[in-house]
Amino acid sequence: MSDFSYETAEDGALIARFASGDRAALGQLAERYERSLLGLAQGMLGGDRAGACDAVQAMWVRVIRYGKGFRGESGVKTWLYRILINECREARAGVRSFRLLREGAKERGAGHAKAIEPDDSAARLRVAMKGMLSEQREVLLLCYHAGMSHSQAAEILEIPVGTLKSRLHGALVELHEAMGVKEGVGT
Amino acid sequence: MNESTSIGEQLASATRWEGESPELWAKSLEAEGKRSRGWGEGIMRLMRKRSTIAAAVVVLLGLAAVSQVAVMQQRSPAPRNGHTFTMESQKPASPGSLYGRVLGAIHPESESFDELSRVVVRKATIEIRTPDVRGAFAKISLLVSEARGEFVQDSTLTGGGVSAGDGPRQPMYGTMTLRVDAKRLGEVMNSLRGVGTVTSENSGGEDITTETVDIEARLRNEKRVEEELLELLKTRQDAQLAEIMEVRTQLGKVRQEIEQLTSRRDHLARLASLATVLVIVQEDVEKEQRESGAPFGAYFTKQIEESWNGGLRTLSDGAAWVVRVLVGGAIWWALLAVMGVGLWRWARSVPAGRKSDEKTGA
Repeated sequence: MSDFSYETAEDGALIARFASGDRAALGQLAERYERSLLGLAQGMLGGDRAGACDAVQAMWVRVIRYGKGFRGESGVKTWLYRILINECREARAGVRSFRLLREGAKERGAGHAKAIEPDDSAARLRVAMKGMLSEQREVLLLCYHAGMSHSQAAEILEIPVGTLKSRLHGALVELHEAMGVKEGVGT
Repeated sequence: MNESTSIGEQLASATRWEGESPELWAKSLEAEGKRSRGWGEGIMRLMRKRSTIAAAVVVLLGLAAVSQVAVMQQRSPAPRNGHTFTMESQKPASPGSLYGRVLGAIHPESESFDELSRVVVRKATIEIRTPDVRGAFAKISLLVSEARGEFVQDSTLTGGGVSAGDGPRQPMYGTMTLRVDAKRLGEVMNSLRGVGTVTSENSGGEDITTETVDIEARLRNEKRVEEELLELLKTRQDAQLAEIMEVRTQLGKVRQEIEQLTSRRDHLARLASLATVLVIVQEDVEKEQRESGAPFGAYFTKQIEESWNGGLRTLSDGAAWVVRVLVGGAIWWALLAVMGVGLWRWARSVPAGRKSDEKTGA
């Protein structure tokens, strides 16, 4: 079962319970989404697992702070992903250090970095993606992430589905060229 | 499996987290809990609420405005040129007494007279030269505030005609006596100085405290005598007619004296509450002739000089106003600065463009 098969209403109920003081509700929400969020953050940060942990923890901090003000105008999943993408954008741009987690990140960094050794194809993919525009990179990662549909990715990025598909096509063409793949693009 | 599929798998793999979840949510909860226990968090939470900030700013600005108005009222009228219109604390008097009634007319807002002042009749004279006497008269008459009971006591305007035999035109000359609220004397004098060139100016105050106290004592005494005479008439109704008539005559004299003293008391009250300003306005014919007959270069230089001086005066007035506002409202500026820093920090904690959606899920 993919992460996106959960009912949005249940997520909303969990957020409401957390807002009313039930800390365990946040744990249940994290149980559903934390791993997939970590995966996306890792992809967006070029395989940096320590950075991904920092981004996700910063995202949880924001959820804790602003959870009471959540009005449910978008799904909880969409909300979480939007926050995470913003954190990752800032981390990449170096605009903002993760102040709350700075100390902890230094301690964790080495361990996480050594946990997974990338193979050649993964390294090639990362190198190819580094040369792409950030908006193309985000589209690529979201569309191939945890069974996410195009409409869900478009909602998270706050762009029309048509725009998303157009960007995805362009991104795949560029990626194929960068990786030396000669066959057609399938989206 | 073609290359596209392979890339798709690689992309999916790139966003797949291997290993256990580090339960970052629990660490975030712990970190946020520690942070919220800090004393500053309460303030920051308040600062995050825009309505709280707006209310605080409104209250602060209101307090600042009220304090500024109070300070300005205390400073008005400002003593000028060493002339002092002092109201020094002297001695107490009861509100019902003459002294109290005179002071009551001067300070109607004070309900008790524990802090009494001297009763001073203020007078000032100012002599002004201006090319446009009629215009100056119009400006001066506008300085009087009828709402405060002020009025133009008298005014005269003479001259302006041409002498026989094609002689030079007679300069215009006018006088105007203003009765203005004693508290506004300084303000009115400042305004008069701007009407034209001041050639002489003097001001002073006549201390009528002694006379006021004397009238009060005499009035009190006369009223006591009146009561005694009335009592006498009441208890000695069987006395001879001549004696009764004598008592009535004395009673009439006493009542007349009381009326005179009361009238004098009211007159003093009016004198003390309204200052008298004598304004003498003379036409500056020489200046007019000088300007009309002078070469254009001199005229131009003169205008530049006046403009320069006017600009400097405006600049100095503006600087003085800024200093007064900064110094007078220092405490409020400091509070606003603290709030501004708080707002700035709050704004930085949530970067622009992502506040609404992150906070509300919109």
